[in-house]
Amino acid sequence: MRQDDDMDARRGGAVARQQISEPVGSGGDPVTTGLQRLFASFEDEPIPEDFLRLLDEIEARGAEVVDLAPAKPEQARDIS
Amino acid sequence: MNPMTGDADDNAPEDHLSDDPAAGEASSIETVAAPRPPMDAAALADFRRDLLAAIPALRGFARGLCGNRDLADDLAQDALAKAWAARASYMPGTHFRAWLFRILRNHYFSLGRRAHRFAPWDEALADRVLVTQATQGSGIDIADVQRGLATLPAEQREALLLVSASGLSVEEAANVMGCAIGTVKSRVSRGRAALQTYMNGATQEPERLSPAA
Repeated sequence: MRQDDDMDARRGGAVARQQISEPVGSGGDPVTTGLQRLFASFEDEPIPEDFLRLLDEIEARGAEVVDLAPAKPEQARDIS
Repeated sequence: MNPMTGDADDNAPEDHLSDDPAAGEASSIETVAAPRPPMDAAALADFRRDLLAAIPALRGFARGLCGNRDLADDLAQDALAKAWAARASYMPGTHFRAWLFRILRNHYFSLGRRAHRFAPWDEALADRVLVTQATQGSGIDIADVQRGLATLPAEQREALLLVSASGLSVEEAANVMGCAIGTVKSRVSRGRAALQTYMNGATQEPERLSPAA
């Protein structure tokens, strides 16, 4: 599952762009078209590996936080 | 005072940084580690999947906002870390990308307010990346769009990126930017006009020198 997610992420913004609705009040004029193409060119750049490593790292740190948080009140009671 | 433009602006983005603690600068992993309802494994997996899917858009928004690839990736990574730390504050079913954009832009403007120092627009790199995509079929040179975007005040650039480029509604953009809907419309309108003027000038300049030359 995670490998599939990572592969989707590496493919760039194709999936995300499918969810983009038509901009309000801008029907395909050069400015809008140019901005959308510029944004798409940014999205299509390959995602650096360090992004995926970061996600693993912060996920691990986040898991630690969730695990540790409930222990704090008990520690306080022990001290008192 | 707007740190990006040096202009006074009653609706400057940094005026609204503290509206949402989850999206603000205080949302580091450490500060958000206070008691919160823990997500179950399925919810965590869903959140991680959504984060992964949003990375391209997040990088794109950051790139358009700051104009520098390395700084944009730093901003996007910081935003990912903040989003993960603040995941309990995300309301499932709401616009996930807009939530992430808000975190990123708050971080960006907070950095600007602190340091008043930004990496210069990496035009040479941008041209190398974009040169193969320029003028393909439409007569629109997106390198010109990128350069024109860089000339705009930050709040107009942000509004254009959110509404015209990434497809958020004006209401969603107002929520991201922390300002009134009318303010977003005004910024989009002024930004579009300025960018159109820039693009018109660029196309009327047949022998424009490459910045790398």
